[in-house]
Amino acid sequence: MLIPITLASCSNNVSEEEQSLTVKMDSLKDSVDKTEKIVDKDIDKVQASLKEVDEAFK
Amino acid sequence: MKSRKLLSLTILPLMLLWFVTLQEKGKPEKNKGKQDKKTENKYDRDKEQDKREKGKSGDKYDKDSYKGKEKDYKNKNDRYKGKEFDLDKRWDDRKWNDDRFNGRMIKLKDKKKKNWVNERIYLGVNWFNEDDVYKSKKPKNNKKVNICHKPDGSNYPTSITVSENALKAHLNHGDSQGNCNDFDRSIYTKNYWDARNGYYNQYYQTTETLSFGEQLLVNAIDVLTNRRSQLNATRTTLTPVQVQKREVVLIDLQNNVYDLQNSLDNGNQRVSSINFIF
Repeated sequence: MLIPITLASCSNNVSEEEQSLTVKMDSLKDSVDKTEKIVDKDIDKVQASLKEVDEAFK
Repeated sequence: MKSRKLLSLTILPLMLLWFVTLQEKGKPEKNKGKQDKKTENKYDRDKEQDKREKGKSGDKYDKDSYKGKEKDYKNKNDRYKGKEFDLDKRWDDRKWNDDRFNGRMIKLKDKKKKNWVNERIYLGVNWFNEDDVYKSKKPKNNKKVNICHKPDGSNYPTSITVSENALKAHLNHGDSQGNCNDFDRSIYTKNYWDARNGYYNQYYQTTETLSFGEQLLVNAIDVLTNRRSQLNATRTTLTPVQVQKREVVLIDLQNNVYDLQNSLDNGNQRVSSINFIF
């Protein structure tokens, strides 16, 4: 299993450091994306509630 | 008289010696008691340990003792499902209670928001383009501008797109408007630079959303306070149905504000814990 991976790495000329950094950046991107989606949903709920309050107090 | 003195001189040291001997004999007895107790405790502990290890190794007797109780454990777990974070989080019965409302408002207002992105990155930014904040678009739906962002501690800039409202904040911390001048990228492959660009774009889009959420949170807390005062002032002039309608929307808003505050808190912890420089 190790040989094909090593060969593939050599043929792409991608250093282990670069591979590791790229994986890290992709993973952090996914993580902050998830964070944003959760907050985004709660923002929608608060905006909808604010509208309801505004209408109920008219 | 002399003989009595002599007698007392002989008997007194003897009594003293006898007393000391008794004391010395008593000590080991006492310690022995302690020692026995210790041994007993150790024995009990060993027995407990044996029991636990029997359980771990899947002893048939212990397994059988749980038979029929699976349902109880399952029900217990179900009861706490979704309530792990904060049992006082949602006000689900929607029945008005002044004390409860006030108590929750204190929790909302007292929450420390230092080091949230509004203070760290977007000081002075206003996200609301409309008078009514609920009509304002979130930053990701705003008009965008290109900037050249220079991450602290990195030798390489990155061209990213940010909301127009955030432009000033970025310029204030050393970024410039427009795309970056090209530079020697031979140190890494295109994949790396694409991943890096994707990461920074997402990071700043997320922090913009957090910042918008923080300003919305402050605004919503004000609305809760003001509308609650308005309800109290007009309560006697309203029909019971009107009062109930207003109470319910205030409770719903307070619930949703709680959720937003929690997700902002978690979100801020997440983004501030990232300390990698790419």
